[in-house]
Amino acid sequence: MRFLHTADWQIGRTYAFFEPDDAAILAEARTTTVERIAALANTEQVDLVIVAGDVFDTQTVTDRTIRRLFLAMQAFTGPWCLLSGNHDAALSESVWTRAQRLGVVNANMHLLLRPEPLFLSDVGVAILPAPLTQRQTAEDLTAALDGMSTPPGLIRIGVGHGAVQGVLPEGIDSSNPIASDRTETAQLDYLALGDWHGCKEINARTWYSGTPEPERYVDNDPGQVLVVEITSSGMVPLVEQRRVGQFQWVRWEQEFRVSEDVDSLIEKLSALDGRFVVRLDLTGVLDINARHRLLDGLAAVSAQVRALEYDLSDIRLQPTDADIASMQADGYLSDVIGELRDRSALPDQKVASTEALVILADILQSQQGAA
Amino acid sequence: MQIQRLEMEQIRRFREPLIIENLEPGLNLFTGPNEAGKSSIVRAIRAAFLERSRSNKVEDLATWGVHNPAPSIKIHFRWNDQPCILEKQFLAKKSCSLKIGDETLTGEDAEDRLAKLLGFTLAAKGGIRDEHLGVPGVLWIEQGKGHELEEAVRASADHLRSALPQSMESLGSRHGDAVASTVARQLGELLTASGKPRGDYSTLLGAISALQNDITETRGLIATYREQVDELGFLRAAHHQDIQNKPWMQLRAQAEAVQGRLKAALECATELQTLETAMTMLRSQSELLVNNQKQRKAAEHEAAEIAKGLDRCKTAAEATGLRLEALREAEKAAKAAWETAREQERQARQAQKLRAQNQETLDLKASLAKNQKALEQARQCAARLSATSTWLSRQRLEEPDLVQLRALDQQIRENQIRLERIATKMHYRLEPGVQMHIGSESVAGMGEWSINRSVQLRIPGVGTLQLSPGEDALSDLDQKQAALQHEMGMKLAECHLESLPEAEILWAAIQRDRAQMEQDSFMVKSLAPEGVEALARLIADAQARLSSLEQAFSTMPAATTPILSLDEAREAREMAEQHWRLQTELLHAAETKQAGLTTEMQMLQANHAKQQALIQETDLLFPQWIEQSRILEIQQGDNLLQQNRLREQLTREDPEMLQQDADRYTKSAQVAEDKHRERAERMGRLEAQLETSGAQGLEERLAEKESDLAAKERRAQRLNIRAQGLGLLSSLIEGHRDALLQKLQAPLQARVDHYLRLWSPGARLKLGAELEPFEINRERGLLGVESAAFSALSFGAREQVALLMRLAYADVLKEAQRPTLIILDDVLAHSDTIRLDAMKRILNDAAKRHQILLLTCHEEDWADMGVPARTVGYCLY
Repeated sequence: MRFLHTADWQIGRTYAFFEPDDAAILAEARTTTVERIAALANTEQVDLVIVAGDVFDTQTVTDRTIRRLFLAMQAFTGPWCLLSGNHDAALSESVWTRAQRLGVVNANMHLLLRPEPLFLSDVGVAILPAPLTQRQTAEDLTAALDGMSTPPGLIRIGVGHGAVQGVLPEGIDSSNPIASDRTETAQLDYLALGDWHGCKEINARTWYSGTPEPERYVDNDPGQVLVVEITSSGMVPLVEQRRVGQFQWVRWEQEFRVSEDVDSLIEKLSALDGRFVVRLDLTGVLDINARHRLLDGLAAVSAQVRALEYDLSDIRLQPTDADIASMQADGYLSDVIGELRDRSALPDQKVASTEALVILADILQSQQGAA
Repeated sequence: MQIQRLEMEQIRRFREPLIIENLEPGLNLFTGPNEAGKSSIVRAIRAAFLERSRSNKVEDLATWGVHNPAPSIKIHFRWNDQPCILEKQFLAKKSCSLKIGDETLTGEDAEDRLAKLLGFTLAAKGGIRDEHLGVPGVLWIEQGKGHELEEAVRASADHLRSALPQSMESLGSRHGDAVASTVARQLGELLTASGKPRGDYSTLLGAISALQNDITETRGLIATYREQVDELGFLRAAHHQDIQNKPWMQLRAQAEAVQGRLKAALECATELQTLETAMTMLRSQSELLVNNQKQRKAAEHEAAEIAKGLDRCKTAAEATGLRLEALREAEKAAKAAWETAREQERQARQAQKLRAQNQETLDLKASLAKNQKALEQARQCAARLSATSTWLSRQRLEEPDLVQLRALDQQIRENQIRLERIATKMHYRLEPGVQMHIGSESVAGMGEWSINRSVQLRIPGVGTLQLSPGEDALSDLDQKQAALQHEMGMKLAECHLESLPEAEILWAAIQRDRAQMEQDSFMVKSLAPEGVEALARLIADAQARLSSLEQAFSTMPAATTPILSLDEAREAREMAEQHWRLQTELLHAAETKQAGLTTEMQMLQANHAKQQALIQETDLLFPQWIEQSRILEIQQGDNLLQQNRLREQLTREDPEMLQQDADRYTKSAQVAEDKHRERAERMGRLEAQLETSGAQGLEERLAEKESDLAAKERRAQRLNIRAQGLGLLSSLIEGHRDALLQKLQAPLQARVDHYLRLWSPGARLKLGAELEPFEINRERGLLGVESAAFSALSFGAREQVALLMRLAYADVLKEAQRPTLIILDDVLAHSDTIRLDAMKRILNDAAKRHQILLLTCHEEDWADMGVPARTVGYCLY
């Protein structure tokens, strides 16, 4: 028996920190990844797909978003088991009730909204879900799995959403706790978990699949689904990772000390292509010339990668004497440059004086160009 | 530069050649009235130095009325220690020559050299215009233009700057101004002059604000949505529980159970009420019976009491009867005793009288002899008196008579009153036709009779009644009254009087005559103290008395010796009288008591008969009443027992409480059901609402808006930084430029300060970028520093400041070894004395360095300048 384990699709997520064009494409990618998962389910010839919570990012996504998701799933006609997570908890009114009202939930799509076992006798599997019916809970919902009895011979697969206690870094989703020995207490063959966005093995029978499409600059191995194979009840599952993510999110830090640092950064960035979402944390000191080169370089790179995020406000502009000479700033203008350079060392005037320097350099350059 | 000599011909007013020589290196004063030609001199100097000789625009130079005029001017001056001569002819003969030391220039060369020297720009054609005047425009003041300086300064700025030791070019920036204007333009695109965002920036901020509002609103909607979802969850749970438990059913059952109990309780209450009504009836019946019995018993008691009373009365009457008889006997005895006593008293009195008569006879006989002797003597004296006493003797009234009369009258009246008071009254009412005789009087009908004394009442056909007043005093009084009245009548008659008043009158007359008689009567009295006649009468009387006594003795029965003395007899009689009266009283009292007893017995007998009748009436009913009462008592007892039982039951099952319970359960059931229904309705509404708002994709929309807002905020932040940068840049450029300007202007500022000190100590004049006066600051003591733009100064002050500025420019030009000539045509006419004085000191000081030509029509104003005035006009030299 084979199935796909995925989670945290976060459909409907938006990216406020990107320019709207980029943000739209990244949002779109979350749904297209589901299409790829459906396709993978077919190629891997799995018996079912389990999504362990947080299918939707929020309860009130638009009808269109709901329709698009369920459409994206249609390529795989086997059973889909969708669990409600903390973002899409099975409240009295939820994204799930809306989906049902919209009539987009096909017969093969099982919504795991109540802590009741689902028997898929065709494939010899009992799905034991621990859905969230509140936004947050302090109790271990998977405890209910201990008491769920299943017909003999069926493979018991638990589905949960939350933080396995004592395993994940401190402070991560401390609510919705899950006991780390749940597979033993509930006699599970496998416990498919969601909530942690990186792919993580807790033990041989307990896995976080992670989100299939990254949406943060966190380097915890996201962008994958798990192909799980359990030959029969009681056997140790065979788990394989499959990469389905469209974009890679990278976050680089760079402190400029010499102007050559600019060139090496640009060179490094030039190696990236459209699959990358990049954030640069830039600090340090630059002269006017190097700053120009940096801006030119970043402009080129930003066309090359999917999205480029950076902030120049932490870079101090330090014009060299050569800069000033090349600007041909004589007389009192050179005094002005000197003063701006002094002021840019003061924390509270750094931004304005750097900006003033940049503007002055631009004006002088354009005047020289005109002359 | 110093002009030494001026020659002019055919210039305006001066048709004849005019020569002004020996001009001083310092101040030269030209005076003269208006129209005297002062301005013509100035015009000539200007034309010589500034106008092109070939210009045709100088017709105004020519003397009026001269045909084909050829105005000519020749100026001798010194420059750089070289003598110079400038000769210029206009209009008819156009020529120009300039000789500097050994060098001679003619035509345009000469004019070019002059322009360079003086610092102005030659007109390309025509007359020279203001904007080309350069330095002379500043230093040479035309009449009435002393206050206009800015334009002139601007026109000569380049010349003035070139006179400054350091130039802007040497210190300034090649691109400075251009950069400054670009910065200002770029800043102007972002912010208004007052620093508010404008254009795209402003629109962007507006959009951000709108988005923020929108987001806040959307967040509110989401919060509402979440609350509603939660509410729906709670409602569904409660609804589900309701359907399971159906609390209203339970409440209804409770209500029904209570209703059953209530019904029983109400029946109980009705029964109790019936019993209470019956009880009331029983009680009233019982009361009636008791009353009847009481009445009968009272009658019996009453009858017994009356019988007792009757017995008592009878006994008393019998006793009284016996006593009455005894009393009557006693009364009779007392009366007889009294009569005996009275007889004894009479006999005693008789004996007494007899003894007195015997004594009297003896006394009479003794005195008779004595009196007869005295009478003879008295009659002699009396004869003497008779004359005067004739009248008197006729009068019978004496004082004692009068007193007696008065007393009698008084007594009679008093007695009458007493009589009236105690008399026994008899009221009578006789049958018609019956007559009654009271004493001697006859009466009929009805009336009243006062019984004062014993009287006889005779009624014809009936008999005679003897009425005696019970009170002896009464008849005594009556008798006394009659006696008194008689005495009164007698007394009056005795005095020969009719009445007491008459006596009173008479008495007054007698009193008068008596006094006269007193002497005469003395003698008579001594002999016959009682008068002669009296004496005689006394004798007669005594004789008569004696004879009557002797007569009496002879007729008087032989005297029986009385048993008692008169006093003893009277006392005995009085005692008997008293006893008799007591017995009479006792008898009367007993008789009255007997009559009262009789009456009481009659009344008692009547009452007894009445009670007796009542008793007889109820004789048959009474036993029935007693039986009925007994039965009623038993019935009441039963009734009360039943009532108590019911009351106890009602205390346990109070209908009011039960009713309240029933209402409470019914209402609660209703409330529970209503709540259930309302909850269902609310759920329905919520579901509909949630369906609608859920379909709006609020959170997804919110996320989109937040993205949009973040992008816009990033852009606004960039623009903000850009505005800050531009602002900083602008202020720095301006600051540095101003600092530089001040440095350049320092030499000029020093000269301005020098003059300003003389004009108004403490004043500061700020210079503009083109060296023009810009702003003036003056100390105003406690008011602080007053700032004013140069253009805002008063006309007078502006002219003064303009003049001292000109002098400062001149100083700077002189420092730069440029020629300076100052021409002041009719200046400072609007200055007050103090300021004029200050300006004179300033001019005097300036004149140490520059040649100044000052033209004025107010010679007297400038008499204190220490230089002689040259009069322009008829005797100009």
